Amino acid sequence: MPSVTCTSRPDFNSDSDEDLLFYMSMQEEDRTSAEEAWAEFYARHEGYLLAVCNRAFNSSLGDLGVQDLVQETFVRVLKKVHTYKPVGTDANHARANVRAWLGKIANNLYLSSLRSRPLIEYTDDPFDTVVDQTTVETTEGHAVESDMLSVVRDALRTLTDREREILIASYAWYEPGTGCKRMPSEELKILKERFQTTADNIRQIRSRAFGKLEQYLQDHATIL
Amino acid sequence: MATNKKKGMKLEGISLDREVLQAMRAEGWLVPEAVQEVLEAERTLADAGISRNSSVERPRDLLRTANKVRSIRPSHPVTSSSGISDNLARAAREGGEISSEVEERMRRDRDAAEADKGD
Repeated sequence: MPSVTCTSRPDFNSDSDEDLLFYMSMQEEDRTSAEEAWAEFYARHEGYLLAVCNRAFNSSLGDLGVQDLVQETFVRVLKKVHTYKPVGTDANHARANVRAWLGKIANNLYLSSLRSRPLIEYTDDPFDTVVDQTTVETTEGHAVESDMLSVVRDALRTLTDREREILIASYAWYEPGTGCKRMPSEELKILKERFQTTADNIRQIRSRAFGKLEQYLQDHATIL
Repeated sequence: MATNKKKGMKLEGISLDREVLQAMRAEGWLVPEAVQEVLEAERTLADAGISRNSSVERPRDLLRTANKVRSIRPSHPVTSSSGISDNLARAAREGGEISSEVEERMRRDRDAAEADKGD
């Protein structure tokens, strides 16, 4: 971290990402420098965040929605800068750590946008409890986890676009430690409109997606 | 035996939801949240030659509106990622046909402005 200097600085080009975050954290003492540091931070990372958000969310948010999400993520950075945990002097690692933190903010905003529909009336049908929160503990540790991750990634690639979208929407309700809430009827309605189909069909697509994943894992995961 | 009866992804009685979420991030379905995932995404994006041009001319202007109500809403129906790049001002200047997405954006801006007036 740089030494504390709260005087106005015209240029932050040569400062590290974590230094920029530090200057942002001093916004109460020196708002101008904090905003200049933020602008430099924005310029460095906007392209990356736009690209990964486009890749992940364009099919559901569209171009303008993704732009909104990215801009809102950066606005949150200035508000939440005190929550960032620095990792040190390795610039590559620090940059990746900063982008991972940005990713968490963006994912949370996206998933919050799904959850914050105005009609939170839960459906009474079983398009519902997605998660039984059982921790995976194996004696082989990370190696097994990595092998399993690889197989799950392969399994995900077998899904169609519709199955993918509906699976992502299902996991939007994932709440570690408490299990998953039921999907609000409003979200189901949005999925119905998006795919021009019925609620029953949405449920069938979701069920088929899970079935395909599980069948793939049964056929290919030999490590459990 | 795998099962998906209201209990999420399981195999041999073990929940795989954590792995599914992790795999979704690794596949780019969600945004990377771990250092290794970021490094992999950076490699993939560089390989794909994806454009990283800024979408905002004056980023600091975003902070001027930071306290306003902003919404992140899906656009429906699904659109392709390459189709829409015009912004509102451009659409208004050129006077051409306004896409449904731009119309949606206009509606959202109007709603936000009305909400501001109501404050």
